[in-house]
Amino acid sequence: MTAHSDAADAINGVEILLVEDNPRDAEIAQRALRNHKLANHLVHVKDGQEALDWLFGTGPHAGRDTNHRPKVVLLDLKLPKVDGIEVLRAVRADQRTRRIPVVVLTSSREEQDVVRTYDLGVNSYIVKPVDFENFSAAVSEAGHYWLLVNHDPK
Amino acid sequence: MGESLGGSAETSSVSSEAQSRDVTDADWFFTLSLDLMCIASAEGQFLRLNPAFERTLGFTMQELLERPFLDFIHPDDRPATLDVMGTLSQGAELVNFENRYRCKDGSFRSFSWTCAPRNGLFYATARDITERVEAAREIQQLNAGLERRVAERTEALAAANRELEAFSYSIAHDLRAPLRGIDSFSRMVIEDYGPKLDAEGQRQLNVIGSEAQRMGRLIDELLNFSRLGRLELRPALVDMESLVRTVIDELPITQAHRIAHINIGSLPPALGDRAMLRQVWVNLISNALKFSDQSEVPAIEISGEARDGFSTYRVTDHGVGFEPRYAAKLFGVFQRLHSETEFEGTGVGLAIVQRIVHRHAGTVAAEGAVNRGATISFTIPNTKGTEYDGPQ
Repeated sequence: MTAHSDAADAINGVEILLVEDNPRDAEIAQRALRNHKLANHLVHVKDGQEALDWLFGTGPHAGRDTNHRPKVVLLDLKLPKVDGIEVLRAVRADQRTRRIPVVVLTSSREEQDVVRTYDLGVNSYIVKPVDFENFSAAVSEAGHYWLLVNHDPK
Repeated sequence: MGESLGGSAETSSVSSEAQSRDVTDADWFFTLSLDLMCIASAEGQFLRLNPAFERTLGFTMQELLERPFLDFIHPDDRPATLDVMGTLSQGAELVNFENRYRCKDGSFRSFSWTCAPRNGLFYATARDITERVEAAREIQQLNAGLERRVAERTEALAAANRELEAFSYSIAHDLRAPLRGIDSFSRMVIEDYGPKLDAEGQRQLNVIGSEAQRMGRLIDELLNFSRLGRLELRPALVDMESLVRTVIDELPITQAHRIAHINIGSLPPALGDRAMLRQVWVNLISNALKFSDQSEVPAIEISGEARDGFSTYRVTDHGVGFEPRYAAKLFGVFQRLHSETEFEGTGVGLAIVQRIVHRHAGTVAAEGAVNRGATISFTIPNTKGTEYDGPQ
């Protein structure tokens, strides 16, 4: 799944920002979302820096209308350049983005606990298990919830 | 000058002879003694010194007599010396008072003084304890050095353990990601190309996925097992009976569990880390249930007894059992005596039990026979005795 151009975003509205550097995990996540018809408007970025550039319309994404905010961010923690915690911190610190729901993808429950200690207002966690079924189900559930069920305070 | 030791002359020739013999012996003691002997005034002046003074300190008799003896005493010891001189002046005897005297060559030697006062004079003997004091100081320094090295080694060990923990942790994480890939993509092939594959093809792909998942469980168990070696033991007296009941209540409900009779005898307390002992019970009871589940009505007995500062516990089942000649293998990591198809499991459960029990300075044992069940027992201290060294 390739990223939409910024112009297309403006028209269609990106619903999910997937921040994941591992291409296999990214493919699994997108497949799960697609299977549940949740992936029509998904942007996939591969590192923390690009996530911030996209969200705030800087760098290669300068000019993107930052009023178009995703309905949910799926955020992996171990990212090159800028790591997941830093992205989370930046998202929560900025007026424009701090209300966007963030679902953190962690590698273990221990990691989950560590993230909690940062107290950065994570909306929910998905622990990336080894098996496909659980991971797919978790991702699509999260997508389902934040896209279809949740009414965010606009 | 004080009383001379000569005494007054006697008229009787016998008593005069006897007296001069006494005088001569006493004089010889004074002259020959290797210990320092002296008479001194309460005002701080030597009045009479035996030759040992010259030999030991290196000063001449003249030099020692012409100055107050405080001049020869180490400055740090002068206040205490003045104190005991005061006490002596009041008539009290002095035993084993230590101070240092300066020698002619500038060095200091240590002495232990014993003194009896009489009529304003001090009659004193001193033993040269310089070597003894030196030896004591060396021992103290050795001990301090040893303690420092023990502290350093302990810290080094702790650091090595932390490194190992971080290492195994990151390995586990790094291994899980590709495993996820293997499992997921083999599933995707089945999902996307399943219809194009025959049953055998699908089965093979399923094997890939389930093997990946099995490997994931192995990694988790290995991590758990290695963590046990590094976790800090928090010892306390543990009520084993209530712990066992809690464990049974919290076990996931399986078929066997639902219909099993679990008989719990009265269990003595044990000294240990509650969380780790809980793991022991979970593993033993789960095993007992698991290997019983081919029986119609699984029955398990849990019993225990205390003796001589140790508590022994037994978990007995009447399930498939094992061949006694393989008993030693039971506790090895990844050792299994039944195939994976008969009973699921990674084979680390009993290895974990053994590891925890050993860290509690205890022992494990297993008895059993084929199709006649098994009894796994463990023994750990229940009091703070010499056997238990504390956190290991």
